[in-house]
Amino acid sequence: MKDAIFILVAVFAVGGALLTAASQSIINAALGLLLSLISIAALYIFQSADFVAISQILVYVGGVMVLLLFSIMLSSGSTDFFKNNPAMKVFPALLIVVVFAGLAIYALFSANLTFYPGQYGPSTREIGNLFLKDYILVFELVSVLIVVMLVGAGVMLRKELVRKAVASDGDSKDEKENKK
Amino acid sequence: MDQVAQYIWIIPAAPLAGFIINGLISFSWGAKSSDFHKKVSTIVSPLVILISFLVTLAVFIQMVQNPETNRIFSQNLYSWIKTGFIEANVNLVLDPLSIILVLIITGVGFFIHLYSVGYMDHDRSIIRYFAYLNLFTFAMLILVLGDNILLMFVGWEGVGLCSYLLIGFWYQNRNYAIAGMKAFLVNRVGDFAFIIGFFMLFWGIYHYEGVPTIAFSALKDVMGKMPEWYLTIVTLMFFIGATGKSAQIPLYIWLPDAMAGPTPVSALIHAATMVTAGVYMIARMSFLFIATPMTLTVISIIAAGTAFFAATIGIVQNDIKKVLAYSTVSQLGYMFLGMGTGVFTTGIFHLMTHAFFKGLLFLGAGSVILASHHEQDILLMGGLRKKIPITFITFLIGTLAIAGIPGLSGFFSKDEILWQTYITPNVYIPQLPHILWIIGLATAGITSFYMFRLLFLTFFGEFRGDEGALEEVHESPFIMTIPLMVLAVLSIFGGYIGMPEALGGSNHLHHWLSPVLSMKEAVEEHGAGHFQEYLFMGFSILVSLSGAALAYIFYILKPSIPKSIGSKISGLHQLVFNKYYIDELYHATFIKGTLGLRMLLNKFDQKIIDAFVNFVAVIVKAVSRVHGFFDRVVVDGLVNFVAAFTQYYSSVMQTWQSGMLNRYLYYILGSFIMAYVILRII
Amino acid sequence: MTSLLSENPNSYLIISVLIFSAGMFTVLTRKNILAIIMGIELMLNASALNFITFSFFRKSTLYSGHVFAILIIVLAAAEAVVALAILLAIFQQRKSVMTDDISDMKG
Repeated sequence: MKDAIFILVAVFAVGGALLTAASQSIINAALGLLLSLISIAALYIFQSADFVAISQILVYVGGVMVLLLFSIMLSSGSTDFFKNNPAMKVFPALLIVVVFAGLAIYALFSANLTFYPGQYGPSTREIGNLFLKDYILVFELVSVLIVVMLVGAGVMLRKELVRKAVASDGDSKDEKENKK
Repeated sequence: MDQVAQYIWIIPAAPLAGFIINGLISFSWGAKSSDFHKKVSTIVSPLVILISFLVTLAVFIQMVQNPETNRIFSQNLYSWIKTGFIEANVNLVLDPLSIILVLIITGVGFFIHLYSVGYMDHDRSIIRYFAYLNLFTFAMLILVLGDNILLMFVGWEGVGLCSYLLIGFWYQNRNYAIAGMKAFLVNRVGDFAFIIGFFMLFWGIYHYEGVPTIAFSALKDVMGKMPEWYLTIVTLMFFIGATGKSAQIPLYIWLPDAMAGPTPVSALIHAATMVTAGVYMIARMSFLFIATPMTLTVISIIAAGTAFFAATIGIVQNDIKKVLAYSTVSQLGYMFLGMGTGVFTTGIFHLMTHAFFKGLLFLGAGSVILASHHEQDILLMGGLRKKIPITFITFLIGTLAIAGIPGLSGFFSKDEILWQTYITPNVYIPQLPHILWIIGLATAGITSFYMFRLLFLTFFGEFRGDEGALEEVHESPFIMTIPLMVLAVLSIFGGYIGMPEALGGSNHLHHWLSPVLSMKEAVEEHGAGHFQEYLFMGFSILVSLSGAALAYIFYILKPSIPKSIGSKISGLHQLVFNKYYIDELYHATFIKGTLGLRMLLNKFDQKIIDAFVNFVAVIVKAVSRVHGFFDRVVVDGLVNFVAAFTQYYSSVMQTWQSGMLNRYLYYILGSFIMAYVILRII
Repeated sequence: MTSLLSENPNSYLIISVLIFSAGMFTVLTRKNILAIIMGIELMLNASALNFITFSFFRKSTLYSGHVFAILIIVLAAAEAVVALAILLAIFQQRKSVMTDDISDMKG
């Protein structure tokens, strides 16, 4: 039973990823990504990583996906809705990806890692302890990073800034043309 | 340590706060300051001095109640310099010596501030004036309160700066500005000697005594191993410093010109406080000076010379403030004469009484000047006594005090100095005390003469100014006459605290100061007991009265006499009138000498240094030509080669930089796979 | 070692490789910046899954792997916000989100 659910989840995870990779429609790609992310959260739960799984769902499904979908809405014209995700040169990409995956799996089996059966148990308390003891500096840096991110994103989308950039870009283009 | 000592910091801090407030107002608004700013300034400035005065008074009362051994209050504010050997703290000390000075500075200073409110009322820069005046008070308090030579020097330079600023206060007038510069430069000479003096003292302390301190209070007990010749040089250097600040021969020439400043400034800085800094300094370091009889002898001679010399110039001056200025120089000579005897209390006593009556005289002169609409020439005054009665009476009291009329303060202090001068034996020149005494006595007579001359010419006789000008003469406002009255009272009674035992007094001042001063025991009984002392007092009274009488005859009874005498000995008169041509002498020697040296250096510059420079230039030019060739052919060739090389290869590499994200990822992945494979193979 | 697939670390690691490859393929082939961002998200998730797996099967009492997974999630979120902000700014300026229109860095 456990394995049946695991195989289902694994198929969803890989299938969602493949849908993202292959779909011509950006919306379908985003939905594939969503499927994959939720499945990966389930895989976390299989490995007793409850807190990480919850974080995955909250942050990705609740935050990043919504952002992605909004960006898609804001940035694409509605006319070629299902063909706005063009690809190029599929074959060399396929080649290099297959080589990479083969190498990775080969490395996995040739490395002869010793594994132990995992133990199930709550993880939140330990993660909290780690964050506030061993990884306190990282924790603080991450908070700084988030502040910088907020400010940066806000500044970047200020109307007048964008307009100025457009104006100066137009000027430089004119100059280039004049030179030619 | 008494509770009250922890408030000592307020004494200098209050004027500093006043300076900051006034300075900020003046700096922010300047000429645009409104009446409100002016009001704030005129209230704040005297108030801060009053605060200092009250704190000082509280300390003084505590000090009087304490036993003699416990009269030194000090407050260590912070450790200022702590390097290797020297250790200097910002340590404020109030002991029986410094508190007298602080009481004068804040007490007399307060009344002069008050007077200034009236005197400077119509000046548009009054806020700047008060800022300077507060800053001066602060610097002077630091000078007096500082417990080591370095801190004292900070105050010493600070008062010099304020003196300069205030002499040149009306800098729009070029002569006034020059007078300020002159004062500053002449002081520089003295300060230079002062600096040499204390550097030598530091070295001496280090080398001979081995004590890591420069605080007066600590040094006093440990001095002793320094050889006398070395100490003599040190103290002479200090004394030269004092001649600069306290206007003694040969550096007195700045003080008469310093009268360019506003009159209250002349009263506060150039009569009552700053110019006495030298006297204070000697008293503060009495433990050094008492060990060097040679220096004391030099001080006595120079002091007596200055006193007599300045007094003679005072006779013929016609500017009311100039007369007082020369009188100040002369009285400072008296103080140094007292210091030179080694009985330092006499000098301090005269310093105190002089602060009262000379402050009073200057303020009175200011009142006269203001009353007669900025007329300073006494030949154009006369008969003013009915117009400005309060000024007249207080000025009269001041004149009586300075002339040494018995019963007023000047009599006691002056007589004390003369008496001590006479009875203190001199180890080098046995006759010197007698000569000095005669000079001192003569000076007393001359002082009496020129002061009464000033008084008679100003207040008695007929008005000699322009027609109608007399009608406009008016008494000064209340705020100016109150300080006059207070100082007049002090001039009368200030002498009684130092009344000699011969007159039934107990010389409080002497007993008060003796714990903190190292000095010779004042000789009260000398052979014939008090009889000789009475005799000498009789002499000096006689001389003073005759001086006054002579002035009365010359300027009231027979006004024609001075003119005829003046024409009979016109050469001498001219000599004295032109201040013995000392200024011209300095101009001809030092200033012309400096300028001449400049010309000489200029010639040297043009003839030798320029030639050398040109020669070097020619050589450099030749070398650079060769070098330029090398540069063009070899260096440029190399650079161009590198550039061409780079350009060629970059054109190849350029195609790799496509600007396409995907392609970059290909590069990354490709190199990753390659690296992995190569590593596996190896 | 049990025979269950869900308790065998290799199965997780292979899933992780496959998802990573899919993400890589996306980044390599797509012209749309949004799709490229999605590919990057996939790759990040695959690596986070690796961290969790190694944490669970090699040192299951230590949770450092979890900490790194969480850090990856946070970084991915931050990266997504900034990247999308840049994307919107570019779109406002050029009316396009295709990489071949944005190749100003071409040498």
